[in-house]
Amino acid sequence: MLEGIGILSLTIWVPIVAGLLLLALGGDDRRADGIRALALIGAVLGFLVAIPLWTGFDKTTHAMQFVERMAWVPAFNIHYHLGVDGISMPFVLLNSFTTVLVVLAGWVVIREKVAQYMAAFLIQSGLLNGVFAALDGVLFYIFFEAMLIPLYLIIGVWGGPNRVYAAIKFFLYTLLGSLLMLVAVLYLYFESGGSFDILAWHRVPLTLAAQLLLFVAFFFAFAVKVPMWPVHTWLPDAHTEAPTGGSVVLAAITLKVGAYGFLRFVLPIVPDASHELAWLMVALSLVAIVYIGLVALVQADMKRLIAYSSIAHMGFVTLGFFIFNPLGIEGGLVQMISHGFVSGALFLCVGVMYDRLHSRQIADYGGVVNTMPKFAAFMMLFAMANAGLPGTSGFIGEFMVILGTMQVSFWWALAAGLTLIFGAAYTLWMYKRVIFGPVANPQVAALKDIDGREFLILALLAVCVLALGVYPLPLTEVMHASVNHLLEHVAHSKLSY
Amino acid sequence: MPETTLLDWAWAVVLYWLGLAAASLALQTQAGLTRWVVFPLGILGAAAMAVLGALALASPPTQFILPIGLPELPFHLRLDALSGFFLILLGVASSGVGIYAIGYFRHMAAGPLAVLSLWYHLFLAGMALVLLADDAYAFMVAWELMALASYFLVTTDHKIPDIRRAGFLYLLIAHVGAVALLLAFGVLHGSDPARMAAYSFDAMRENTLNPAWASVTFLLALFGFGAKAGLVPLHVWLPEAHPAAPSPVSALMSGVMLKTAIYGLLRVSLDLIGAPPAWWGTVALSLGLVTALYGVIFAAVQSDMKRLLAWSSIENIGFIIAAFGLTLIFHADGKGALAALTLTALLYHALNHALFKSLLFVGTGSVLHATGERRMGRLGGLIRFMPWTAWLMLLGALAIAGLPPLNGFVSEWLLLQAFLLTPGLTQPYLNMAIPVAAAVVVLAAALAAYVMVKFYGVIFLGQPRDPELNEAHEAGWPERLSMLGLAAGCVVLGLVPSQMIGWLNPVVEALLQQTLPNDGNWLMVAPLSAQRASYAPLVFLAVVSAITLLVFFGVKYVYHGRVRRAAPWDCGYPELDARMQDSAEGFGQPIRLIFSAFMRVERITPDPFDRQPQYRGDSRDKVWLWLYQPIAAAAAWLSAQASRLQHGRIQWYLIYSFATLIFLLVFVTR
Repeated sequence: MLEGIGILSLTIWVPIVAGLLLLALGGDDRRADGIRALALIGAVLGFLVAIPLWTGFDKTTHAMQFVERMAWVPAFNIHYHLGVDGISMPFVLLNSFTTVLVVLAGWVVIREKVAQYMAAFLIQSGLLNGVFAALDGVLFYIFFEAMLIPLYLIIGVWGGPNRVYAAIKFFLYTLLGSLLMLVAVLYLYFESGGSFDILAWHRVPLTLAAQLLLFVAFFFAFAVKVPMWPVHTWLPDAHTEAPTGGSVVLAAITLKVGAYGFLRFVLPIVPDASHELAWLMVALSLVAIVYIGLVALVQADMKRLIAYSSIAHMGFVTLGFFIFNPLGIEGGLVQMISHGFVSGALFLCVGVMYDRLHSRQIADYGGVVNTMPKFAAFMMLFAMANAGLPGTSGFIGEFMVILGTMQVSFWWALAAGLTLIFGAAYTLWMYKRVIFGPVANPQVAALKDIDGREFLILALLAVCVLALGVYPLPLTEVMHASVNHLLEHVAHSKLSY
Repeated sequence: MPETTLLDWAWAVVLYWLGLAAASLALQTQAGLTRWVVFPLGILGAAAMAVLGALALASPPTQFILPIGLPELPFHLRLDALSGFFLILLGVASSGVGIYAIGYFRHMAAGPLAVLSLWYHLFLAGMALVLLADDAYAFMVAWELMALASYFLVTTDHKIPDIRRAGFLYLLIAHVGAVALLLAFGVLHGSDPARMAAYSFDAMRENTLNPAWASVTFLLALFGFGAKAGLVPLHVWLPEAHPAAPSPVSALMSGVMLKTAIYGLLRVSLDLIGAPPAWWGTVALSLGLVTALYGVIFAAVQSDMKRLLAWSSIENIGFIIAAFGLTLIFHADGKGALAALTLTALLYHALNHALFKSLLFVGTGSVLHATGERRMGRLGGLIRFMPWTAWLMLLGALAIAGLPPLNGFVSEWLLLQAFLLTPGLTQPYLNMAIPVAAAVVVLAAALAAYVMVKFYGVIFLGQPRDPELNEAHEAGWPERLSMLGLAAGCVVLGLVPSQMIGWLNPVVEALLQQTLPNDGNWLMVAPLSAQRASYAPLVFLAVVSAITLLVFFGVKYVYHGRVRRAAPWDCGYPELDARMQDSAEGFGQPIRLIFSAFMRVERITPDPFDRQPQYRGDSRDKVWLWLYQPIAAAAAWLSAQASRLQHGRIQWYLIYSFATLIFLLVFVTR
C-alpha cells in the first residue's frame, strides 16, 4: 500500500476527479478540443494507475489484495474498505480500459455538452471501479446506486429520439432491485452483530428460511442488472437509445456488475439457498439463452439485436455460476471479460456506421464491404467472436461452461449448445445482410472507410479478442485461487454452524 | 535439444501456410506476385505435407504440446499413421489444385486475389491442423478455421445473392455440426471431467465410457461429422455451396474437406471411444447407403454441371460411410480380416475420390472459363475445342464411374468383395441385410456410371448447342498440367493396388490391430484368399491394350487395308443439328420418373402454338421441403411469438417483475 492513498483508491478517484475537473472547466463547446484532450488524459491516467493491480497481483492466494481500510462512519461501523481478489481485479482493469475507448469513440461525434459527456463517463468509470473494489456493504451500495446516475444522464441527454422513455425504464427497473438489496444489507448488518464487512458476512450463520429470503432480495438487485429473463426488458430500449459510448459501457461493464454480485454476495453469503434454488437459476439462464436467441433472430435494428445477444451471452454466465464447478465459474468469468470486449466492439461498430448513415436499421445497409473493407474485416472478427467461433475469446467461456454443465446434466448442456447455433444464426445473418452483397443504395456508396482513430479503437479490441481466444491462461491463472476458494466455501453448508 | 520429428516438420508447414496467408495480405496490388510466388510456395508446402504424411505411415506416433491454448489444456498435436494418410490426401490433392489455381485466377484483380489467397492458405492450414490436433479445443479451433476459411472462399463472388445464400446456409449447417462435435467431446472426456486436462485426446483414449455414453458420443459425432461430409439429410448445403465456389475451391472442398469429416469419424469412433458395438455400424451403413443412393439419383437429374458433381460427391461420401459402417460391424463381430478389408476400401476410396473429384471440378472450371456457362443444356461438342481438357476429364469420368483399370474400380471392387465374402455374422438380421446392402451399392455404382455418361456426353460430345461455343478456347498450361497430374494419379492408383494396400496397412493396423494378409504378390490383388477373387489391373490393362491394338492393326492390314470414312446414318433426317441431341434433362428423365417420389419437379413446358417456346425443368430435393422449411418456419413462428412479450409498455414489464418477485416469495416461503 502506498503512503496515504492506495492503488484501488487511485483507480476510483483519478477518473472521478478528472470528471469533476471537466465539469468545472466545461460548458463552452468552443473549447471542446481541449476538453477532449483532458478527458483522454484522465481516462489514460485512470488506466495507468490500474496496471499495478495486474503486475503486482499475487496469483497464489485467494485473499483480498491491495486492501485499504479506514473508519468512515464509526457510529454504524461503516468503513472505507477496499480490496480485490482474482474475481474482481480483472473487471477493474476492463473498466478502466473501456473508459479510454469510450472517450476516443465520442471524440468527433459528440459536439454538444462535450465536457459534461466526457465527465459523465469518467465519473461513471470511477464509480464502477468502486463497485468492484468495495468490501464494505454500505460502500458497495453507494457505488452501486451512484453509478446509475451518470448512465441515466448519458441515455437521457445524449440518447436517441426515445431517450426519456428508455432512461426512465432503466431507472425504474434498477431502482426496484436496489431497494430490496438495501433491506438485505441491513438485515445482514444486524444478523452479523453490527458489521458491514462483506467478508464477515460470508461467515455469518443463517437459517435456510433467512437465506432464501436474502436470496430473493439479492436476486432482484443483480438479476435486473445481468439482466436475466424475465426482468431483462429494460436492456434493449436502453441500448437502442443510448449513444454509442453509453451502449459500450452498459454492455461491457454495467451488466457485469450483476453477475459479479452473484459471486460476491449470493453464492458465499447464502450458499444453501444457492444450492436450493440453483435449478431456478439454471432454468432462467437456459430460458434466456434460448428465448432471447429466438427474439434476436427477428430484430431489424442492429443495436437491439446486439442487446438481445448480450442477454443470451449473460445467460451463459449465470448458468456457469450455478452449476458449482470450477469449469463453470471460470468459464462464466472468462465469458464476462470476453463479452466485455466483443459486445463493446460490436456496439462501436454499429456506432461507426451510425455516425455515417444515421441509421441502425439492417435494411438500410448492404454491401458495406465494397466501400469500407477495413471496417468489414474488423466487424467480421467481432461477429465471429459473438457467434462463439473457436480461436476468438467468445468461444473459450462458452466451451468451458458447456463442458462444466455437461458434468451436471447432458440435457442442460445440449440446451446451452443451442445458443451457439442461434448466436451464429442471428449474428452472421446480420453480418451477411449489412456487409456483403452489392452496394445497396447511394448512401452506402458514399461511405468512407474508418479513419485512424476508429482503426485504433477497433484494433485494440481485436487484439484483446484474439489474444484471449488463443491464450487465456494469464487471465484464468489470476482467477484460479479465488474461484477454488469460493467453491470450497460454497460447498460448506451454513446450516451446520 | 530433442531431435526434430516428422510432427515438427508438419507443424512447420502449417506455420508456413499461415505465413503465406499473411503475406498475401501485403500483396493487395500485386496479382502477379500472388499468382506466381505465393501460390507456388503454397504448392511446395502441400508437396512437403504429402511426403511427411507418407513418412508418418511407417513411423511411430509423435506428439508435442504448444504453449498456447486453454489453462491445463494447451494445444496438443499428434502425427500418427491415420493423420499421416489424410495428410497425403491433403498434400496430393492440394498440390494438383494449387497448380490449377495459378492459371484459373489469371483474370482476377489483385485485391480480391489477395483476399482469396489469404483464405485459401488459411483453409489449407486449417485442414492440416484438423488432422494434427490432439485435444478437443485444438480440434475445434482447427475445425472452425477450416469452416470459416471455406465459407469466405465460397462467398468470393458475394455480389450474387444466390452465392450469399449458399454461403450462409453452409456456415449455419457447419456451425450446427460443430456444436454437435463440441457436445460429443464434452461427453467423451477423460477420467476427471472437472479438469480441463480431461479433454485431451490422450485422456479420452485412456478413459472407458459406459456403453450408453459411448453411444451418445458416437451419434453426436456422426451428426457433427455427417453435417460436414454431406450425410443425408444434412447434405443440403453441399449442392448449393459447391457450385457457388470458384472451381479450385470446389475441388478442395469436395476432394479434401469432406474427407476431414471421415477422418474425424474414424478418429473418434475407432481411436478415442474404441470397442464400437455392431449397431453403430448398422446405423452408419444404413445412412451411408441412403446417402449414396440419394446422391446418385439427384446427380442423374441435374442440369448444372457443378451441381451434378456436388451430388456425386454426396454419393461417394455415402459409399465411404457405408464402408465405415461395415467396418464397425465386422470389427464388433470379431471378423478382423474383413474389417481390415472394408477399412482399406474406405481409405482407398477416400484418396481416389480426392483425385478424380478434384480433377472433374477443376475441369468444369476450365469449361466455365472457356464458355461462361454452367448449364449443360448450353454446352456440347467441346472435345473439339478443348481436347486436353476433354481427354483428361474422360479419365476422371471413367475413374469415378468405377471402370477398370482406373482407381475408382479398385476401391469399389474391394468394398464389393467385402460384401461378397461376408460369412455368417452372429446377428441374423444383419445377415439378411448384408445382401440387400450389397445390392444398393451395386445399384448406386451402376447409376454413377450412368451419371458420368450423361455428364461427359452432354458437355464434350455431340455438337455444340450454342454457336458461341465455337469460340471456346483450351485451358492454359497450368490448368492442363494440373489436370494431367491428377489424371496420372488416377491411373497410377488404379494400376498398383497391391502396393497401395501395403502402404495402407499401418493405418488399418493402428485402428483395428489387424492387417490384411499380404501374400507379397505385386501383380495380383487377392483380398483374403486368391481362391475367392482376385484382380490384376496390369494384366487387365495389357489385355485391353493388346486387344485394341490387334483390332486396330487387324482392321488396317487385314480388312481391305483401309478405313472408310462416311457420314453417320441420319435416320432419314437430312440435317442433324444440336437440337436433336439428348439434353441433360432428357437423359435424366427415366431416373426422374422412377424416383419422382423423392423430388419436387418444377417444369415449364411449351405448348405447340407457342411463338417462343421455352423449356425449363428443375428437380428439387424434397428433404429441403420436408425438413428444413418446417424448421425454418417453426423458428420464425417461435420468434414472432417470443417477440410479442416485448411490446414496449413499461406497465407490462413491471408486471413481469412483480410476478417474478411474488412467485419467488411464494416459492421460498412455502
